[in-house]
Amino acid sequence: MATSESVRTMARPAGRIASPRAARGAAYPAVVALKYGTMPALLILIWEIAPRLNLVSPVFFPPFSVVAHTAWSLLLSGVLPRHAMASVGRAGAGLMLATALAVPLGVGISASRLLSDMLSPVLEAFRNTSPLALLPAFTLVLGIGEVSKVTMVVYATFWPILLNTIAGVRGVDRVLVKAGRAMGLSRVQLVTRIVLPAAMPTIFTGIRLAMSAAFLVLIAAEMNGARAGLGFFVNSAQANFQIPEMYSGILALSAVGLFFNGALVLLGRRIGVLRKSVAP
Amino acid sequence: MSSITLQNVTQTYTRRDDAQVVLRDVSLSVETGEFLCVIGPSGCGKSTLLELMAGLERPSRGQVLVDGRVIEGPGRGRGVVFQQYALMPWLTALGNVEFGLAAAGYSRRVRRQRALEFLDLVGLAEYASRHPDELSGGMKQRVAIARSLAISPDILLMDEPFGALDPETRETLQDELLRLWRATGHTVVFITHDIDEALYLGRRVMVMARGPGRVAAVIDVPFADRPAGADVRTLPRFIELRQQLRGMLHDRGGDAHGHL
Repeated sequence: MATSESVRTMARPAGRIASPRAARGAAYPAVVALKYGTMPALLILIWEIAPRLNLVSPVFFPPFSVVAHTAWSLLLSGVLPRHAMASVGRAGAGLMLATALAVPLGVGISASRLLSDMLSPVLEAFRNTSPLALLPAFTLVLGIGEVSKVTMVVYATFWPILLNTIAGVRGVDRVLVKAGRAMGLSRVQLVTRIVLPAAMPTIFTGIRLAMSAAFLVLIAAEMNGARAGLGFFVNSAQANFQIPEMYSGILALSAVGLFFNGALVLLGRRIGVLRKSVAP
Repeated sequence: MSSITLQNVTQTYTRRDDAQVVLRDVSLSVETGEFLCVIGPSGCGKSTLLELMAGLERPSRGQVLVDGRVIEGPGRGRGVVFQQYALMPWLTALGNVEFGLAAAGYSRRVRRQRALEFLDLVGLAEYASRHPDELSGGMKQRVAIARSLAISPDILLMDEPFGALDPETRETLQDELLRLWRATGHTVVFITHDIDEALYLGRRVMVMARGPGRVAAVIDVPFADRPAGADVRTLPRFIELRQQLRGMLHDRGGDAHGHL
Protein backbone atom coordinates (compact mmCIF):
# COMPACT_ATOMS: atom_id res chain seq x y z
CA MET A 1 0.00 0.00 0.00
CA ALA A 2 0.98 3.63 -0.11
CA THR A 3 4.30 4.29 1.53
CA SER A 4 3.14 7.46 3.22
CA GLU A 5 0.63 5.60 5.35
CA SER A 6 3.09 2.88 6.22
CA VAL A 7 5.50 5.50 7.45
CA ARG A 8 2.79 7.22 9.44
CA THR A 9 1.60 4.06 11.12
CA MET A 10 5.18 3.03 11.77
CA ALA A 11 5.56 6.03 14.02
CA ARG A 12 3.30 4.35 16.58
CA PRO A 13 5.32 2.74 19.33
CA ALA A 14 5.43 -1.04 19.20
CA GLY A 15 5.02 -2.12 22.84
CA ARG A 16 7.00 -5.30 23.18
CA ILE A 17 9.92 -4.60 20.88
CA ALA A 18 11.89 -1.97 22.72
CA SER A 19 11.40 -2.32 26.44
CA PRO A 20 13.36 0.45 28.16
CA ARG A 21 13.88 -1.81 31.15
CA ALA A 22 15.62 -4.44 29.04
CA ALA A 23 17.78 -1.78 27.47
CA ARG A 24 18.80 -0.38 30.85
CA GLY A 25 19.51 -3.86 32.21
CA ALA A 26 21.81 -4.63 29.35
CA ALA A 27 23.65 -1.36 29.82
CA TYR A 28 24.15 -1.42 33.59
CA PRO A 29 24.21 -4.92 35.09
CA ALA A 30 25.46 -3.47 38.36
CA VAL A 31 22.34 -1.32 38.70
CA VAL A 32 20.13 -4.34 38.09
CA ALA A 33 22.02 -6.41 40.67
CA LEU A 34 21.63 -3.61 43.19
CA LYS A 35 17.95 -3.14 42.44
CA TYR A 36 16.98 -6.79 42.74
CA GLY A 37 19.64 -7.93 45.22
CA THR A 38 19.33 -5.38 48.01
CA MET A 39 16.25 -6.74 49.78
CA PRO A 40 17.33 -10.42 49.75
CA ALA A 41 20.78 -9.45 51.00
CA LEU A 42 19.24 -7.37 53.78
CA LEU A 43 16.99 -10.24 54.89
CA ILE A 44 19.88 -12.69 54.98
CA LEU A 45 21.89 -10.17 56.99
CA ILE A 46 19.09 -9.86 59.56
CA TRP A 47 18.79 -13.66 59.68
CA GLU A 48 22.50 -13.88 60.36
CA ILE A 49 22.75 -11.14 62.97
CA ALA A 50 19.53 -11.53 64.96
CA PRO A 51 20.38 -14.98 66.43
CA ARG A 52 24.00 -13.97 67.01
CA LEU A 53 22.86 -10.96 69.06
CA ASN A 54 20.41 -13.25 70.89
CA LEU A 55 17.47 -11.22 69.65
CA VAL A 56 15.96 -14.60 68.86
CA SER A 57 17.04 -17.92 70.25
CA PRO A 58 19.92 -19.29 68.16
CA VAL A 59 18.77 -22.78 69.08
CA PHE A 60 15.34 -22.43 67.48
CA PHE A 61 16.48 -19.96 64.85
CA PRO A 62 20.12 -20.63 63.93
CA PRO A 63 22.03 -17.99 61.96
CA PHE A 64 21.86 -18.17 58.18
CA SER A 65 25.45 -19.38 57.83
CA VAL A 66 24.76 -22.41 60.03
CA VAL A 67 21.62 -23.32 58.07
CA ALA A 68 23.41 -22.74 54.77
CA HIS A 69 26.26 -25.00 55.85
CA THR A 70 23.87 -27.78 56.84
CA ALA A 71 21.84 -27.32 53.65
CA TRP A 72 24.98 -27.53 51.54
CA SER A 73 26.10 -30.82 53.09
CA LEU A 74 22.56 -32.24 52.81
CA LEU A 75 22.61 -31.23 49.19
CA LEU A 76 25.95 -32.89 48.53
CA SER A 77 25.01 -36.05 50.42
CA GLY A 78 21.92 -36.38 48.24
CA VAL A 79 19.45 -36.31 51.12
CA LEU A 80 17.74 -33.06 50.12
CA PRO A 81 17.63 -33.94 46.39
CA ARG A 82 16.02 -37.29 47.20
CA HIS A 83 13.24 -35.72 49.27
CA ALA A 84 12.82 -32.86 46.82
CA MET A 85 12.44 -35.28 43.93
CA ALA A 86 9.77 -37.22 45.83
CA SER A 87 7.76 -34.03 46.38
CA VAL A 88 8.30 -32.70 42.87
CA GLY A 89 7.18 -36.01 41.36
CA ARG A 90 3.92 -36.00 43.36
CA ALA A 91 3.20 -32.32 42.72
CA GLY A 92 3.98 -32.64 39.01
CA ALA A 93 1.89 -35.77 38.52
CA GLY A 94 -1.04 -34.23 40.39
CA LEU A 95 -0.82 -30.97 38.51
CA MET A 96 -0.73 -32.68 35.13
CA LEU A 97 -3.65 -34.93 35.98
CA ALA A 98 -5.66 -31.98 37.26
CA THR A 99 -4.91 -29.99 34.10
CA ALA A 100 -5.95 -32.90 31.91
CA LEU A 101 -9.25 -33.15 33.80
CA ALA A 102 -10.06 -29.50 34.51
CA VAL A 103 -9.39 -27.91 31.12
CA PRO A 104 -11.79 -30.10 29.09
CA LEU A 105 -14.41 -29.88 31.83
CA GLY A 106 -14.00 -26.10 31.95
CA VAL A 107 -14.47 -25.84 28.20
CA GLY A 108 -17.56 -28.05 28.45
CA ILE A 109 -19.04 -25.98 31.27
CA SER A 110 -18.49 -22.75 29.36
CA ALA A 111 -19.99 -24.21 26.21
CA SER A 112 -23.06 -25.77 27.77
CA ARG A 113 -25.53 -23.80 29.83
CA LEU A 114 -27.16 -27.05 30.99
CA LEU A 115 -23.88 -28.62 32.13
CA SER A 116 -22.98 -25.39 33.88
CA ASP A 117 -26.31 -25.18 35.73
CA MET A 118 -26.21 -28.85 36.69
CA LEU A 119 -22.67 -28.83 38.02
CA SER A 120 -22.45 -25.42 39.63
CA PRO A 121 -23.96 -26.28 43.07
CA VAL A 122 -21.65 -29.27 43.46
CA LEU A 123 -18.65 -27.37 42.18
CA GLU A 124 -19.33 -24.46 44.52
CA ALA A 125 -19.56 -26.82 47.50
CA PHE A 126 -16.34 -28.63 46.66
CA ARG A 127 -14.49 -25.46 45.80
CA ASN A 128 -15.25 -24.06 49.22
CA THR A 129 -14.17 -27.21 51.02
CA SER A 130 -10.54 -26.83 52.00
CA PRO A 131 -8.42 -29.72 50.77
CA LEU A 132 -6.69 -29.71 54.14
CA ALA A 133 -10.02 -30.53 55.80
CA LEU A 134 -10.30 -33.50 53.49
CA LEU A 135 -6.77 -34.71 54.21
CA PRO A 136 -7.80 -37.11 57.00
CA ALA A 137 -10.58 -38.50 54.81
CA PHE A 138 -8.24 -39.06 51.89
CA THR A 139 -5.76 -40.76 54.21
CA LEU A 140 -8.48 -43.01 55.62
CA VAL A 141 -9.79 -44.07 52.24
CA LEU A 142 -6.61 -44.11 50.17
CA GLY A 143 -3.97 -44.82 52.80
CA ILE A 144 -0.73 -42.93 53.26
CA GLY A 145 0.85 -44.00 49.97
CA GLU A 146 1.44 -42.14 46.75
CA VAL A 147 -2.17 -42.45 45.61
CA SER A 148 -3.59 -40.44 48.47
CA LYS A 149 -0.96 -37.71 48.10
CA VAL A 150 -1.34 -37.33 44.34
CA THR A 151 -5.12 -37.34 44.81
CA MET A 152 -4.78 -34.53 47.31
CA VAL A 153 -2.76 -32.51 44.82
CA VAL A 154 -5.26 -33.20 42.05
CA TYR A 155 -8.11 -32.09 44.28
CA ALA A 156 -6.36 -28.90 45.36
CA THR A 157 -5.15 -27.90 41.89
CA PHE A 158 -8.31 -28.84 40.02
CA TRP A 159 -10.31 -25.78 41.18
CA PRO A 160 -8.03 -22.92 40.19
CA ILE A 161 -7.47 -24.53 36.78
CA LEU A 162 -11.17 -25.22 36.26
CA LEU A 163 -12.29 -21.75 37.32
CA ASN A 164 -9.65 -20.04 35.22
CA THR A 165 -10.53 -22.19 32.22
CA ILE A 166 -14.18 -21.19 32.56
CA ALA A 167 -13.27 -17.52 32.97
CA GLY A 168 -10.81 -17.72 30.09
CA VAL A 169 -13.23 -19.37 27.70
CA ARG A 170 -16.08 -17.03 28.65
CA GLY A 171 -13.76 -14.09 28.10
CA VAL A 172 -12.83 -15.06 24.56
CA ASP A 173 -13.66 -12.21 22.18
CA ARG A 174 -16.86 -13.25 20.39
CA VAL A 175 -15.71 -11.66 17.17
CA LEU A 176 -12.79 -14.12 16.97
CA VAL A 177 -15.22 -17.01 17.09
CA LYS A 178 -17.42 -15.29 14.55
CA ALA A 179 -14.43 -14.80 12.26
CA GLY A 180 -13.56 -18.47 12.67
CA ARG A 181 -17.08 -19.49 11.75
CA ALA A 182 -16.96 -17.22 8.71
CA MET A 183 -13.75 -19.00 7.68
CA GLY A 184 -15.65 -22.26 7.76
CA LEU A 185 -14.13 -23.84 10.88
CA SER A 186 -16.05 -26.71 12.47
CA ARG A 187 -17.17 -26.61 16.11
CA VAL A 188 -14.21 -28.73 17.20
CA GLN A 189 -11.80 -26.57 15.20
CA LEU A 190 -13.30 -23.44 16.75
CA VAL A 191 -12.44 -24.84 20.19
CA THR A 192 -8.95 -26.12 19.38
CA ARG A 193 -7.80 -23.34 17.07
CA ILE A 194 -9.50 -20.27 18.53
CA VAL A 195 -11.14 -20.71 21.93
CA LEU A 196 -8.33 -22.62 23.66
CA PRO A 197 -5.45 -20.49 22.35
CA ALA A 198 -7.39 -17.32 23.15
CA ALA A 199 -8.18 -18.55 26.67
CA MET A 200 -4.66 -19.88 27.23
CA PRO A 201 -3.22 -16.88 29.11
CA THR A 202 -6.03 -17.12 31.69
CA ILE A 203 -5.78 -20.92 31.88
CA PHE A 204 -2.06 -20.58 32.35
CA THR A 205 -2.57 -18.18 35.25
CA GLY A 206 -4.78 -20.87 36.78
CA ILE A 207 -2.00 -23.41 36.40
CA ARG A 208 0.45 -21.09 38.13
CA LEU A 209 -2.01 -20.56 41.00
CA ALA A 210 -2.55 -24.30 41.11
CA MET A 211 1.15 -24.90 41.51
CA SER A 212 1.37 -23.03 44.79
CA ALA A 213 -1.76 -24.88 45.95
CA ALA A 214 -0.11 -28.16 44.94
CA PHE A 215 2.90 -27.64 47.17
CA LEU A 216 0.79 -26.32 50.02
CA VAL A 217 -1.38 -29.42 50.34
CA LEU A 218 1.39 -31.79 49.41
CA ILE A 219 3.62 -30.61 52.23
CA ALA A 220 0.72 -30.95 54.64
CA ALA A 221 0.03 -34.46 53.36
CA GLU A 222 3.69 -35.43 53.64
CA MET A 223 3.83 -34.13 57.19
CA ASN A 224 0.76 -36.22 57.94
CA GLY A 225 2.45 -39.46 57.01
CA ALA A 226 5.11 -40.30 54.47
CA ARG A 227 8.51 -41.88 54.11
CA ALA A 228 9.95 -39.29 51.74
CA GLY A 229 9.31 -35.77 50.54
CA LEU A 230 10.27 -32.34 51.80
CA GLY A 231 7.20 -32.11 54.03
CA PHE A 232 8.19 -35.36 55.71
CA PHE A 233 11.79 -34.18 55.99
CA VAL A 234 10.92 -30.85 57.62
CA ASN A 235 8.50 -32.48 60.03
CA SER A 236 10.83 -35.29 61.10
CA ALA A 237 13.77 -32.90 61.45
CA GLN A 238 11.69 -30.81 63.83
CA ALA A 239 10.58 -33.90 65.77
CA ASN A 240 14.20 -34.99 66.11
CA PHE A 241 15.31 -31.50 67.11
CA GLN A 242 17.55 -31.19 64.04
CA ILE A 243 16.83 -27.49 63.74
CA PRO A 244 19.35 -26.49 61.01
CA GLU A 245 18.09 -29.51 59.02
CA MET A 246 14.52 -28.32 59.42
CA TYR A 247 15.38 -24.88 58.04
CA SER A 248 17.36 -26.53 55.24
CA GLY A 249 14.21 -28.40 54.25
CA ILE A 250 12.21 -25.16 54.28
CA LEU A 251 14.85 -23.44 52.16
CA ALA A 252 14.76 -26.35 49.73
CA LEU A 253 10.98 -25.95 49.49
CA SER A 254 11.31 -22.27 48.61
CA ALA A 255 13.94 -23.13 46.02
CA VAL A 256 11.74 -25.80 44.44
CA GLY A 257 8.77 -23.42 44.36
CA LEU A 258 10.81 -20.62 42.83
CA PHE A 259 12.29 -22.99 40.30
CA PHE A 260 8.92 -24.31 39.16
CA ASN A 261 7.29 -20.92 38.96
CA GLY A 262 10.24 -19.66 36.93
CA ALA A 263 10.07 -22.71 34.67
CA LEU A 264 6.33 -22.18 34.12
CA VAL A 265 6.82 -18.52 33.28
CA LEU A 266 9.59 -19.35 30.83
CA LEU A 267 7.44 -22.06 29.28
CA GLY A 268 4.55 -19.61 29.03
CA ARG A 269 6.71 -17.07 27.23
CA ARG A 270 8.13 -19.74 25.00
CA ILE A 271 4.72 -20.93 23.82
CA GLY A 272 3.59 -17.33 23.66
CA VAL A 273 0.84 -17.25 26.28
CA LEU A 274 2.70 -14.88 28.59
CA ARG A 275 4.01 -11.50 27.63
CA LYS A 276 7.54 -10.56 28.57
CA SER A 277 6.12 -8.03 31.01
CA VAL A 278 4.92 -10.78 33.38
CA ALA A 279 7.26 -10.89 36.33
CA PRO A 280 8.81 -14.30 36.87
CA MET B 1 -16.69 -14.48 -9.28
CA SER B 2 -20.14 -14.54 -7.85
CA SER B 3 -23.36 -12.66 -7.45
CA ILE B 4 -25.41 -12.63 -4.28
CA THR B 5 -29.16 -12.33 -3.94
CA LEU B 6 -31.55 -11.90 -1.05
CA GLN B 7 -35.16 -12.85 -1.68
CA ASN B 8 -37.78 -11.48 0.73
CA VAL B 9 -35.56 -12.02 3.74
CA THR B 10 -37.13 -11.46 7.12
CA GLN B 11 -35.09 -11.92 10.26
CA THR B 12 -36.71 -12.23 13.66
CA TYR B 13 -35.06 -12.69 17.02
CA THR B 14 -36.98 -14.04 19.94
CA ARG B 15 -35.87 -12.88 23.33
CA ARG B 16 -37.91 -13.70 26.42
CA ASP B 17 -41.13 -14.34 24.48
CA ASP B 18 -40.60 -11.04 22.74
CA ALA B 19 -40.22 -11.41 18.99
CA GLN B 20 -38.25 -8.61 17.46
CA VAL B 21 -38.24 -8.08 13.70
CA VAL B 22 -34.73 -7.04 12.72
CA LEU B 23 -35.20 -7.16 8.96
CA ARG B 24 -38.50 -7.17 7.12
CA ASP B 25 -38.87 -8.40 3.58
CA VAL B 26 -35.47 -7.36 2.28
CA SER B 27 -34.78 -8.15 -1.36
CA LEU B 28 -31.53 -7.25 -2.97
CA SER B 29 -29.29 -8.37 -5.78
CA VAL B 30 -25.57 -7.72 -5.99
CA GLU B 31 -24.08 -8.41 -9.39
CA THR B 32 -20.79 -10.13 -10.02
CA GLY B 33 -17.94 -7.65 -9.58
CA GLU B 34 -20.17 -4.95 -8.14
CA PHE B 35 -19.23 -2.71 -5.23
CA LEU B 36 -22.35 -2.16 -3.13
CA CYS B 37 -22.40 0.03 -0.06
CA VAL B 38 -25.13 -0.42 2.52
CA ILE B 39 -25.84 2.58 4.70
CA GLY B 40 -28.35 3.10 7.44
CA PRO B 41 -28.83 4.34 10.99
CA SER B 42 -27.67 2.13 13.84
CA GLY B 43 -30.23 -0.54 14.64
CA CYS B 44 -31.44 -0.85 11.05
CA GLY B 45 -30.14 -4.41 10.81
CA LYS B 46 -27.28 -3.77 8.39
CA SER B 47 -24.88 -5.96 10.32
CA THR B 48 -27.50 -8.69 10.45
CA LEU B 49 -27.82 -8.34 6.69
CA LEU B 50 -24.10 -8.96 6.33
CA GLU B 51 -24.16 -11.95 8.67
CA LEU B 52 -26.97 -13.45 6.61
CA MET B 53 -24.87 -13.05 3.48
CA ALA B 54 -21.87 -14.57 5.24
CA GLY B 55 -23.96 -17.53 6.29
CA LEU B 56 -23.37 -16.82 9.97
CA GLU B 57 -27.13 -16.44 10.44
CA ARG B 58 -30.03 -18.26 8.82
CA PRO B 59 -32.93 -16.10 7.67
CA SER B 60 -36.19 -16.62 9.55
CA ARG B 61 -37.97 -16.32 6.23
CA GLY B 62 -36.80 -15.88 2.65
CA GLN B 63 -33.59 -17.00 1.01
CA VAL B 64 -29.99 -15.94 0.52
CA LEU B 65 -28.53 -17.16 -2.76
CA VAL B 66 -25.00 -17.11 -4.12
CA ASP B 67 -24.88 -17.66 -7.87
CA GLY B 68 -28.49 -18.80 -7.72
CA ARG B 69 -27.92 -21.42 -5.01
CA VAL B 70 -29.31 -21.18 -1.51
CA ILE B 71 -26.44 -20.98 1.00
CA GLU B 72 -26.36 -23.37 3.94
CA GLY B 73 -23.69 -21.67 6.01
CA PRO B 74 -20.33 -19.93 5.74
CA GLY B 75 -18.30 -20.80 2.70
CA ARG B 76 -14.77 -20.11 1.56
CA GLY B 77 -16.16 -18.25 -1.45
CA ARG B 78 -17.10 -15.42 0.90
CA GLY B 79 -14.54 -13.53 2.97
CA VAL B 80 -15.67 -11.40 5.90
CA VAL B 81 -13.88 -8.34 7.31
CA PHE B 82 -15.07 -7.09 10.69
CA GLN B 83 -14.82 -3.64 12.20
CA GLN B 84 -13.00 -5.09 15.22
CA TYR B 85 -10.38 -6.68 12.94
CA ALA B 86 -10.85 -10.12 14.56
CA LEU B 87 -7.15 -10.93 14.44
CA MET B 88 -5.87 -13.75 16.63
CA PRO B 89 -3.75 -11.90 19.22
CA TRP B 90 -1.40 -14.88 19.77
CA LEU B 91 -0.43 -15.03 16.10
CA THR B 92 1.81 -12.72 14.11
CA ALA B 93 0.52 -10.81 11.09
CA LEU B 94 1.87 -13.61 8.91
CA GLY B 95 0.40 -16.23 11.23
CA ASN B 96 -3.02 -14.60 10.99
CA VAL B 97 -3.03 -14.69 7.20
CA GLU B 98 -1.78 -18.28 7.29
CA PHE B 99 -4.55 -19.11 9.78
CA GLY B 100 -7.19 -18.13 7.22
CA LEU B 101 -5.43 -20.13 4.54
CA ALA B 102 -5.26 -23.18 6.80
CA ALA B 103 -8.97 -22.86 7.55
CA ALA B 104 -9.66 -22.73 3.82
CA GLY B 105 -7.69 -25.95 3.34
CA TYR B 106 -4.51 -24.66 1.73
CA SER B 107 -1.62 -27.06 2.19
CA ARG B 108 1.15 -26.20 4.62
CA ARG B 109 3.54 -25.91 1.70
CA VAL B 110 1.82 -23.02 -0.07
CA ARG B 111 0.50 -21.17 2.97
CA ARG B 112 3.64 -19.27 3.95
CA GLN B 113 4.41 -18.11 0.43
CA ARG B 114 0.85 -17.04 -0.25
CA ALA B 115 0.51 -15.27 3.09
CA LEU B 116 3.66 -13.27 2.39
CA GLU B 117 2.35 -12.34 -1.04
CA PHE B 118 -0.86 -10.93 0.36
CA LEU B 119 0.86 -9.11 3.22
CA ASP B 120 3.00 -7.53 0.54
CA LEU B 121 -0.13 -6.63 -1.43
CA VAL B 122 -1.46 -4.60 1.52
CA GLY B 123 1.98 -3.08 2.13
CA LEU B 124 2.84 -4.94 5.32
CA ALA B 125 5.62 -7.28 4.19
CA GLU B 126 8.02 -5.76 6.72
CA TYR B 127 5.57 -6.29 9.56
CA ALA B 128 5.01 -9.99 8.97
CA SER B 129 6.48 -11.00 12.34
CA ARG B 130 4.61 -8.40 14.41
CA HIS B 131 1.77 -9.36 16.69
CA PRO B 132 -1.55 -7.46 16.44
CA ASP B 133 -0.84 -5.49 19.61
CA GLU B 134 2.25 -4.13 17.92
CA LEU B 135 0.29 -2.82 14.92
CA SER B 136 -1.78 0.34 14.51
CA GLY B 137 -5.51 0.09 13.82
CA GLY B 138 -4.98 0.73 10.12
CA MET B 139 -2.32 -1.95 9.92
CA LYS B 140 -4.50 -4.45 11.77
CA GLN B 141 -7.30 -3.89 9.30
CA ARG B 142 -4.85 -4.36 6.42
CA VAL B 143 -3.84 -7.70 7.90
CA ALA B 144 -7.51 -8.65 8.19
CA ILE B 145 -8.08 -7.64 4.57
CA ALA B 146 -5.02 -9.64 3.48
CA ARG B 147 -6.37 -12.63 5.39
CA SER B 148 -9.72 -12.37 3.61
CA LEU B 149 -8.24 -11.79 0.16
CA ALA B 150 -5.65 -14.58 0.45
CA ILE B 151 -8.29 -17.29 0.23
CA SER B 152 -9.44 -15.82 -3.12
CA PRO B 153 -13.02 -15.23 -2.14
CA ASP B 154 -15.50 -14.37 -4.86
CA ILE B 155 -17.38 -12.08 -2.52
CA LEU B 156 -15.89 -9.76 0.08
CA LEU B 157 -18.27 -8.85 2.90
CA MET B 158 -17.12 -5.89 4.97
CA ASP B 159 -18.89 -4.78 8.16
CA GLU B 160 -17.92 -1.15 8.84
CA PRO B 161 -14.26 -2.11 8.38
CA PHE B 162 -12.90 1.43 8.66
CA GLY B 163 -15.32 2.61 11.34
CA ALA B 164 -12.74 2.53 14.13
CA LEU B 165 -9.96 4.29 12.20
CA ASP B 166 -8.93 7.92 12.25
CA PRO B 167 -10.10 9.95 9.22
CA GLU B 168 -6.68 10.08 7.56
CA THR B 169 -6.04 6.35 7.78
CA ARG B 170 -9.61 5.71 6.71
CA GLU B 171 -9.19 7.69 3.50
CA THR B 172 -5.96 5.91 2.67
CA LEU B 173 -7.55 2.53 3.20
CA GLN B 174 -10.57 3.53 1.12
CA ASP B 175 -8.26 4.30 -1.81
CA GLU B 176 -6.36 1.07 -1.26
CA LEU B 177 -9.56 -0.91 -1.17
CA LEU B 178 -10.69 0.65 -4.46
CA ARG B 179 -7.32 -0.16 -5.99
CA LEU B 180 -7.56 -3.78 -4.85
CA TRP B 181 -11.14 -4.01 -6.05
CA ARG B 182 -10.19 -2.71 -9.50
CA ALA B 183 -7.28 -5.15 -9.65
CA THR B 184 -9.17 -8.23 -8.47
CA GLY B 185 -12.77 -7.60 -9.48
CA HIS B 186 -14.27 -9.10 -6.33
CA THR B 187 -17.92 -8.59 -5.56
CA VAL B 188 -17.92 -6.33 -2.51
CA VAL B 189 -20.68 -5.61 -0.02
CA PHE B 190 -19.56 -2.83 2.27
CA ILE B 191 -21.52 -1.77 5.34
CA THR B 192 -20.99 1.73 6.66
CA HIS B 193 -22.77 4.49 8.52
CA ASP B 194 -20.68 7.18 6.83
CA ILE B 195 -22.40 8.86 3.88
CA ASP B 196 -19.19 10.09 2.25
CA GLU B 197 -17.63 6.67 2.53
CA ALA B 198 -20.65 5.04 0.90
CA LEU B 199 -20.68 7.52 -1.99
CA TYR B 200 -16.93 7.39 -2.45
CA LEU B 201 -16.63 3.61 -2.53
CA GLY B 202 -19.93 2.26 -3.78
CA ARG B 203 -21.10 1.92 -7.34
CA ARG B 204 -24.53 1.60 -5.83
CA VAL B 205 -25.65 2.64 -2.39
CA MET B 206 -28.45 0.87 -0.59
CA VAL B 207 -30.10 3.02 2.05
CA MET B 208 -31.78 1.22 4.91
CA ALA B 209 -34.35 2.42 7.38
CA ARG B 210 -35.11 0.97 10.76
CA GLY B 211 -38.01 -0.11 12.88
CA PRO B 212 -38.02 -2.75 11.38
CA GLY B 213 -34.96 -2.81 9.16
CA ARG B 214 -35.87 -2.51 5.51
CA VAL B 215 -34.63 -1.16 2.21
CA ALA B 216 -35.48 2.52 1.84
CA ALA B 217 -33.82 3.23 -1.49
CA VAL B 218 -31.09 2.10 -3.84
CA ILE B 219 -29.09 4.84 -5.53
CA ASP B 220 -26.73 4.54 -8.48
CA VAL B 221 -23.52 6.43 -7.92
CA PRO B 222 -22.47 8.20 -11.11
CA PHE B 223 -18.73 8.35 -10.47
CA ALA B 224 -17.94 4.92 -11.84
CA ASP B 225 -15.58 6.00 -14.60
CA ARG B 226 -13.43 8.32 -12.57
CA PRO B 227 -9.70 7.85 -12.96
CA ALA B 228 -7.95 6.12 -10.07
CA GLY B 229 -6.99 8.60 -7.41
CA ALA B 230 -9.30 11.36 -8.60
CA ASP B 231 -11.06 12.98 -5.68
CA VAL B 232 -14.75 13.07 -6.46
CA ARG B 233 -15.68 14.32 -3.00
CA THR B 234 -15.61 17.94 -4.15
CA LEU B 235 -17.77 17.47 -7.26
CA PRO B 236 -21.11 19.32 -7.15
CA ARG B 237 -22.94 16.07 -7.95
CA PHE B 238 -21.26 14.35 -4.99
CA ILE B 239 -22.32 17.11 -2.64
CA GLU B 240 -25.83 16.96 -4.05
CA LEU B 241 -26.05 13.20 -3.45
CA ARG B 242 -24.67 13.63 0.03
CA GLN B 243 -27.46 16.08 0.85
CA GLN B 244 -30.01 13.73 -0.66
CA LEU B 245 -28.78 10.77 1.42
CA ARG B 246 -28.63 12.84 4.56
CA GLY B 247 -32.22 13.86 4.03
CA MET B 248 -33.28 10.25 3.52
CA LEU B 249 -31.53 9.01 6.63
CA HIS B 250 -33.07 11.75 8.75
CA ASP B 251 -36.54 11.18 7.40
CA ARG B 252 -36.45 7.47 7.87
CA GLY B 253 -35.42 7.08 11.44
CA GLY B 254 -31.92 8.44 11.82
CA ASP B 255 -30.42 8.51 15.27
CA ALA B 256 -31.91 10.77 17.88
CA HIS B 257 -28.38 12.00 18.56
CA GLY B 258 -28.00 13.16 14.98
CA HIS B 259 -25.64 10.28 14.35
CA LEU B 260 -26.13 10.51 10.60
